[in-house]
Amino acid sequence: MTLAVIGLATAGCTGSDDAEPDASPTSPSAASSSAAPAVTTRVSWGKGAGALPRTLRPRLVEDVQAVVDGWFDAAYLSGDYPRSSFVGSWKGFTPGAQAQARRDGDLMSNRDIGADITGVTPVSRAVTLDVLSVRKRPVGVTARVDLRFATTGTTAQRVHVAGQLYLTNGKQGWQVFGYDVRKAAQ
Amino acid sequence: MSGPVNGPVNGPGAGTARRRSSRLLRMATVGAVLAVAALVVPDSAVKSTEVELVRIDRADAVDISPDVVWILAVGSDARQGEEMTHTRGDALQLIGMNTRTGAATAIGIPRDSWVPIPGHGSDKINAALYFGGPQLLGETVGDLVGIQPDYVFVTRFRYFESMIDDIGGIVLDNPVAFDDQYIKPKRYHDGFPEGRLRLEGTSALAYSRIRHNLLRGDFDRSANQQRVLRGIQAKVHNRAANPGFIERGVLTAIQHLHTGLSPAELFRLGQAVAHVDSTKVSTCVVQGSIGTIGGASVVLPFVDQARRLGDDARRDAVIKDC
Repeated sequence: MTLAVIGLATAGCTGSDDAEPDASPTSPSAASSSAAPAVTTRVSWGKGAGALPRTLRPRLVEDVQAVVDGWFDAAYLSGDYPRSSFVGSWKGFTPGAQAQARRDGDLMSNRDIGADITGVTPVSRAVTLDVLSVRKRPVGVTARVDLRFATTGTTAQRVHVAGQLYLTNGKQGWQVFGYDVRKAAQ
Repeated sequence: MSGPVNGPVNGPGAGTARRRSSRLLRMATVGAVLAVAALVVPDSAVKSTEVELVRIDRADAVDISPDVVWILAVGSDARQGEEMTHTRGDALQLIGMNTRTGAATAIGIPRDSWVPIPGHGSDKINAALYFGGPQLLGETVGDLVGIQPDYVFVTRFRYFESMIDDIGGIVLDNPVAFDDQYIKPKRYHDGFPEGRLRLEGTSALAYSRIRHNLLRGDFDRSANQQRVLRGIQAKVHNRAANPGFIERGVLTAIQHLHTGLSPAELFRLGQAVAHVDSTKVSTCVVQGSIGTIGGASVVLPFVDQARRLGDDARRDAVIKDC
């Protein structure tokens, strides 16, 4: 298994948030297996920069988590396996990022194994937010994501997806404009 | 930007397949590039005029690939009290970044290049900054190379030193030993030896400025500046994995930049810079002959070469041959 490199924050982060765990909002997993237990996404605050009033954090968490969960579910966890189509897996991405993710479909979805598996069972899902705030408003987020699931079928394996999504807030709301993601199977 | 590894890579563990992809993609029409310096603005009491970042308005963008963005990085030797954006740029590097592939390139322009300056006849290229600020300098360099920069980034030497120190110094490979009678940084008081060097701010600035004892003067100095840029990018890339590093860098950049760019735009630019793939960086310096005009020593740039470099790199930020 591989993991995204997650090191310690550099010293002197201006106005950075403490790495305290936030109230962990729950998001029901949309595992394709109906018998699978619900696995919720654990959200925590990482090492951002700039002051963000606590009153604004829940909305940010909700918005970014919706993007991340939308990707987790559509690209990996949901759908009727076996499946070969992963269109719509990146609705929370900018158009350019969607096009690139489509090209990286084996990594950015289960396109590589979708036809050979019969189901997906989520094991864990987590996201840590490094938030850039300017004038007390969030303007950019690095979402460090970590998703683990198991597959059944011809290609029965444990899969680990980890890395970073980069988001900014625009007219379409929070969207992923870039990513750095690894996928490991064992 | 880290290049994607296409297809599975066998790891040491049996049955383990690893795939990695790293992409930075542009959003809307905004390019994703920023001089690496902007990422690592020291969190010190630097005045906002230490750095200038100007987006070049463009009426016709049809020749610009959506994945490649160009920035003109300018080192200003403005003294204290001088307006940085209306002095003469001392270091000129046109930097291109391909946000899809992670490639980047730098085209060095000798500062004494004698070129047409729109609306001002012909003069040394760095005079364009004095005549018309970053916009005119960008246009002038763009006319020489055939690539109009999307952004012009101007910073002072003093700020440059602080930036190098803030990232913990840089490492580069120096091909030829050299020194200077007047510029003697403490660590390399006797000059820069050949081989691997570790430079802190003062040494990096000296390394970038010395030209008198270089065999090919301003041309070699420009190449040295590119070695420094590579060193900065490599250091930023390595530290970008630290959570919050990019966010902190962008925030401090915002505090010190004079720019019309939005914070979100700067964030995208910052992420793009951090993801340049160090193995996909190519650099060249525009060559020329030495002449004298009006009693001043000037470089008569090889315009054909400059255009060829521009043509080569325009669409993918890769120069195959200098």
